[in-house]
Amino acid sequence: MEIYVNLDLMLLKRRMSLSELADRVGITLANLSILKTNKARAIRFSTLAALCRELECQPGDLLEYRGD
Amino acid sequence: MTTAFKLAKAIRFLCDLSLGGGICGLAWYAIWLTWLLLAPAITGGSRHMVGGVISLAVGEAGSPQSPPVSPAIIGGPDLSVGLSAFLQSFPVTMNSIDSGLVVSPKFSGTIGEMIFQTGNWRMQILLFLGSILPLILYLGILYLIRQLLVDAMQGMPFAIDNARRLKWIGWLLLGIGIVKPLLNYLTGHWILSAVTVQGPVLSPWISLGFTGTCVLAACFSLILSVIFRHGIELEKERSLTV
Repeated sequence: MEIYVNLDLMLLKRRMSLSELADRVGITLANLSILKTNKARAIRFSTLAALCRELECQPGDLLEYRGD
Repeated sequence: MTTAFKLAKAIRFLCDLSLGGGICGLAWYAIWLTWLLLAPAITGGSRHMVGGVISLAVGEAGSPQSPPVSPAIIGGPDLSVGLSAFLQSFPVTMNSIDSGLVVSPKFSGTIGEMIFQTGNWRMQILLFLGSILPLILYLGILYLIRQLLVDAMQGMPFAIDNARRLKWIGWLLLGIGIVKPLLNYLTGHWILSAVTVQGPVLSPWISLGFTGTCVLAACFSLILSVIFRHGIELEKERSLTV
């Protein structure tokens, strides 16, 4: 996959656990794990907006493009 | 419970009932066939007769004849004539060559039935195959439909197993559409070769309506299988969309 989600880094910076973030954002822990392990195929804007709101960051801080 | 769920549950119950009955029927067929084949050796008596009905057409296959004029019905030493009234009948007489074969034809127009009884064990096996093979295929289809319903009722209709099951249902339907008429044709061909016919030429008759229906249903099932595979991809995308 070419787009990577740097959730680990942001969780570390904000000193938040995955389950706490899942509760705050309103998605299941399973879905957040899918995102964290880069298995997700798509992300809704609403989910991205909620993540940026809770982690106080920009989409570019979360999403990184890595070419082959 | 929604109406669709109740309907699915009812159909699953009917499938279970039919499967149970079908398996009992298969077991009974197997026991009866074994007894029929082994009884002469065990009891020392003559072989039991097994009866059947085959469809015949007057004339070569694909070219029906028009009715001749004078009726003549001649029985033979081995011919048990159980003729009921011919309806617009063809005069057809049949003498059995095989002493273990008893025939009685009944015609209406160009298509007719021949009721027969045979003590020939090879023909008996063919008759049983004609009944058992389509039954096995039907039971296979019933089982696959039942499994499909179980998954659908659990809220997982778009599973790869269901796509495979629909594909199998399609092939089994095609099998029934081919096997049943083919076995009927072979039986008819065999019986006709064991009798002499005085009158018009007779040939085994296969109704293509049954085969056509099975082929259509098979195509529908195979197409549905392809659609289900697409649905599985969409379901996968949806489940991996956060």
